[in-house]
Amino acid sequence: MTPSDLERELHDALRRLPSPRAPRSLTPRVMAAVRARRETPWFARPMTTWPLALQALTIALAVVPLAVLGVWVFGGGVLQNGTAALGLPRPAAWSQGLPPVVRQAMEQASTVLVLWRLFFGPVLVYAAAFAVAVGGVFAVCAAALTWVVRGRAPAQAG
Amino acid sequence: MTDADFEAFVRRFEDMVFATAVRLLGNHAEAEDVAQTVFLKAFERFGQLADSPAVAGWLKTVTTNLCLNHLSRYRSRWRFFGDLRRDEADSDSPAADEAVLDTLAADAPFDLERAEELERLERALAELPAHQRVPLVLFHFEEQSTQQIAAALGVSVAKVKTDMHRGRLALRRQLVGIHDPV
Repeated sequence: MTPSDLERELHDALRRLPSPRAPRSLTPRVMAAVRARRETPWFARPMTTWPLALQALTIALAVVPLAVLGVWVFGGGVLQNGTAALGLPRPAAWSQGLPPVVRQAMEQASTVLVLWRLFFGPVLVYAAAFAVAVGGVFAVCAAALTWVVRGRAPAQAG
Repeated sequence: MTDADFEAFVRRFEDMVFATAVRLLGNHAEAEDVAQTVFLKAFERFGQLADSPAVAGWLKTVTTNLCLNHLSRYRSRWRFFGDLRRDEADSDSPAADEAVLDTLAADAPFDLERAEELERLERALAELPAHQRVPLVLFHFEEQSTQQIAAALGVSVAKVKTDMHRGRLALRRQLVGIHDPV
């Protein structure tokens, strides 16, 4: 008997096996899970099932503060170091060659940056920490409310 | 979309999904769990799936992927993929396999007209180690090529062929009544 004979013989044999039938309990079980899923509050469902706009908003809310924080903390230093490492002239030097409108826009942006660093920057870390804490409290309260109102934890509903 | 529509959908495809899962996993309870997860995923996108001609293929693909995840993540994470890698490192012994084939050739052919023989084959398949059963099921029932199976399992084509060959030898032994350990 060659391996090909064995393969052919077993293939024929396996293909003759009757297909296993699903147990009768499967459909009721799936429908119960579907009803539980439907009753689960939207925030307790997997994020992939949220409406697209809500997913985008959540991602933006999570990413934008982090990006701002990252630029604020590291951005200036990285830009300065990068410019120096590449041997490029300092911004003040090369900006003299730009059109007046662009120079004015850059000056205004600098003013905003100075104001930001003076008044808003110092509290940004605390504000971010506060937002995370409030978010955490909100999530705990929502889970507790769901538990009390519906008599179960949202994670068990799915 | 009503619950009745989705229930009809589940009833239409439950045997197919369950059969795929139970053959890959070799366990009824785990196959039921996987089938439920498959249908919940289908429920999330029932609007697109309900009238799609590719729905059966989608369900089979999701079932297969969830079964492979289940095998690797929950049940025998260490054994399944551990065996895959260890066997790959092992030097194959084609001479020994040839000897088994010669022995089998001398045995009486099995009789699949008898229901108990079919039952024995089904049981023997379920009892094969996962690294032999999974490629055999994907090859013989799901009609995947050895290249597709190798890609799905993250192993070489040679390894898939060796495992399938050894799985077939084990099944053949069971069928002719040589109850060597698989």
